[in-house]
Amino acid sequence: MISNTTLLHKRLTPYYFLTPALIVLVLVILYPVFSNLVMSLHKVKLMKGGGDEFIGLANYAKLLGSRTFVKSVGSSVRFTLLSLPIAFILGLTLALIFNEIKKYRPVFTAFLLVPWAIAPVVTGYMWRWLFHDSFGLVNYFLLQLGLIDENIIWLAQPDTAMAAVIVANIWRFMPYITIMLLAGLQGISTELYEAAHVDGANVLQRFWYVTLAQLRHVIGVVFLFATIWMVNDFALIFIMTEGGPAKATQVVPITIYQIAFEHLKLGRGAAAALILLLFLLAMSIIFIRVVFKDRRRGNEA
Amino acid sequence: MQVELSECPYSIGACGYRPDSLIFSSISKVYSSRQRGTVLQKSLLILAVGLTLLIGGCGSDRKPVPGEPTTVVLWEFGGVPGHLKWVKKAVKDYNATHKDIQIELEFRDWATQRESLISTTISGEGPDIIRVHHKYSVEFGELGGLYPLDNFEDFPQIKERILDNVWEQVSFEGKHYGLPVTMLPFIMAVNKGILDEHGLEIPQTWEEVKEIGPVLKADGIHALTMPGGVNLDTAYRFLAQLYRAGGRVFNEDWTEAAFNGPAGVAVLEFLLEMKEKGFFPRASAAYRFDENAAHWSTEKAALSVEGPWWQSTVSGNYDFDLEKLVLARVPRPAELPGDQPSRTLLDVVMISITGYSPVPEQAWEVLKALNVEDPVWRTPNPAMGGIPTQKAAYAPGVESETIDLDVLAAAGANGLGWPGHPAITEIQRHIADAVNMALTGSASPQEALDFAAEEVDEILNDF
Repeated sequence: MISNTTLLHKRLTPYYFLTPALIVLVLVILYPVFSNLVMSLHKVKLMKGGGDEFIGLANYAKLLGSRTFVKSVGSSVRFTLLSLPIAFILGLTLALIFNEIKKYRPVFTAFLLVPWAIAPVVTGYMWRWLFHDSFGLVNYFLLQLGLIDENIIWLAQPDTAMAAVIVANIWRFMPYITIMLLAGLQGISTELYEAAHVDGANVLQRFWYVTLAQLRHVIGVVFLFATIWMVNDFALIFIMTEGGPAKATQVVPITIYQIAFEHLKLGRGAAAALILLLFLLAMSIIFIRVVFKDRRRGNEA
Repeated sequence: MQVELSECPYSIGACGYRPDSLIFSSISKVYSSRQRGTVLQKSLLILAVGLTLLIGGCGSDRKPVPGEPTTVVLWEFGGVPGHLKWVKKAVKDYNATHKDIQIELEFRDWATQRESLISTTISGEGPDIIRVHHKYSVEFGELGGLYPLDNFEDFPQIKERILDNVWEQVSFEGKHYGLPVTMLPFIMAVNKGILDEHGLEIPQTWEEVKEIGPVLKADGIHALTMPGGVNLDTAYRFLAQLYRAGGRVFNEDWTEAAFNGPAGVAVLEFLLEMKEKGFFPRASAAYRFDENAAHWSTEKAALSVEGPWWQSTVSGNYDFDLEKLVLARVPRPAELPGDQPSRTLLDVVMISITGYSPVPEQAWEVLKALNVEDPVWRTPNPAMGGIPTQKAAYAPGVESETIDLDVLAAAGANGLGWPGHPAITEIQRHIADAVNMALTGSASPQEALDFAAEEVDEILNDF
């Protein structure tokens, strides 16, 4: 017969194992988020003992009424929505090619990872100078190829500056997408292709009904992570354009940085960061529910 | 090549003090580390502020103990090599001759001073003396991060020895938060070689600048260049021209922005006209200090709005032949559109005592010995960076090797800094945005400046 104490211990055992992780979560995630929330409701004074003034939702109201903040939300959305699909299509194409390469695949994969491995700051500087109007290699090659008649001032015009940061972003993210999709592709059983072939499916049908269908969850994870990273991206854009010209590339993280650390309005910066966090959280929940809908149904069944 | 931070001269993004040695030149010599450092610094700042807010400050308990020497910690935020050499020797000499006070000297990167001030001000722990840009006098003085020098009895006597016009830069609401030691008037860097080759004189007015434009354009050279990106470099260059055009940043009682008045609009219209005619780089709206320096140093432009740091920047980073460099006053319109007298934008480096120092009296003694009494401040010396602020440095009979010292001194004497407002960095940001918007054609000069003025008015109302 099992005693009550033993039973209690048995029931509590999983929680013992969970405790260290919970402590870490509380310390590194919940506490900062809570502090951030508290800060966002105050006018924070920097000096020790200065006494923060409670101002309720005033920081949020200011932000939502700020043209700069609203515009930066638009820039973030544009930056992400234009970068992600192109990076995905290129990444998927490369993954399909790499999947067919049997020899030296690890070597190619290692090379492929270089852009992803380089620090965003370095990537930013590299692309900043590549897109330089006078000294940049982009203009040089376009001139050599006869595609342009005069240097394009890439980073000095709103539209071309956004295009430039998107190109740099795609270059940086594509390897991650490729590697993830390649891993997914390698997990697809060849029997599925053989069966589809026997059923008379052509190449496109096999790609659509086998490859993409089997990659669905990997694609979901890739989109989710890439979206979060791109929306949060600061270093690459800040180095390349500082958010300019004419605020065309001023994404939300740059605005948050300016509010909090340039203007020293820590409360308002905290509010902006919280808005971004809530947006990403909501987006992630919706995303997970949609992408993993069938898996959840399966579990329930 | 990467050099030690301690060898790096001033390099604040806004003012014009620049590193001429922090260069990782594998990609290009035009690639300064200042901006690469910037993001690292931003990250460090975020981390520092986050950690400080998280753990709270722990006040210093360093107090003078009778019979024991008091340690005064001095943070030197960069400096040109000549200055660094001097300060090392000065500290060594001071420590050798003073048994009651010992100076502990630490070198920091010039570009990290604001981050350092933020974190030390929050935590209430840090150095006793700092050598920083004057604009922090108000921002951190008001926050309690800097100690008002007026509290010292002999301050009036010390004040008397410094040029009157530079005190304005370090004061807020009647209190002085630093001793101005070096001044950097904004002037125009001229490539005399280019002008001579084309038989042109140095232009004094906007009209003359426009006149030399077509001659230089014929050879693919821009008459004028300046940083126009969304950074504080841009705000500084705009203000240098605004002051010369008789404009001002705020109205008389600082209740409203005034940079969007006729002088401000005239400056932007002048720059836009230059750009449209091809006398000014089209890409300037993306230029930071580095790109602009590269453009000028590679002889793609003849004139640039800069300061005394230009000599070390263009020779150190770009091997520019200094024989061709001449410094002149920033051009102004023949007829002033503004209602103020034509002034020169002036940057100042100051020595301050921190508001949390447990030994302010001892720090004041050190400050006076090193930065007032030392003879180095009584002779303009190009190796020391800018030009000194002591009246004695401009007395008859003082000899100096500083190039175009007369121009610099005249500009300095006519100098006016950014208004000493606690939110000046934010204000500078809005002005830079306005200039950038106008240069990109996203808004007319008046619209762009009005937009910035709205934001600035809101800031002014908050204080």
